[in-house]
Amino acid sequence: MAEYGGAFAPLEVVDQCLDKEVLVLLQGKKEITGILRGFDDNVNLVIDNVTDTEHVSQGKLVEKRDRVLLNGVQ
Amino acid sequence: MISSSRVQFKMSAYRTYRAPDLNAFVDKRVMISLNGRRKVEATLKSFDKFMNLTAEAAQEVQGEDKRDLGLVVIRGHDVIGIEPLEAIIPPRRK
Repeated sequence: MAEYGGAFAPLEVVDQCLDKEVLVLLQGKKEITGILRGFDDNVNLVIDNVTDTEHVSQGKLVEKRDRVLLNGVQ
Repeated sequence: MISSSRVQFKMSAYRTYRAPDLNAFVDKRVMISLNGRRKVEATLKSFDKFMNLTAEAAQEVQGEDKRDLGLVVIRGHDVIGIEPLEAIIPPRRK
């Protein structure tokens, strides 16, 4: 429960996740896992060692990338 | 067009910067509806003025399936609604 060090505001919790592995769920059936390197007020994200997964009817489409800038404005 | 000299409509600019009053929902189990037909059942821990949320013990509900997510941060941009799953005391309007 106290994993995130008592910080409660949503962006503070994201701050506690820097340099840690995160799972980001995107709109639709897409998700990304990787190491969070940075973010800003618009929740744009910079993620390293990314595994980009899309769930399709037959199974999963997986792609690997080195570094990703995820647009927070969507 | 309706116009009245007696009624004055005043919009306080301050109101747009206030956080939504979700204090009644903190530490309660809630069902959060999200853009993109997602529903998440979780214990709400905190919020901010953009309605970004922090929640614990989150489970994504897809029909019958539940997927455990643990501690989550949800972007306010995508929050459609928050429904309490246990009794809450509604906030009093002052």
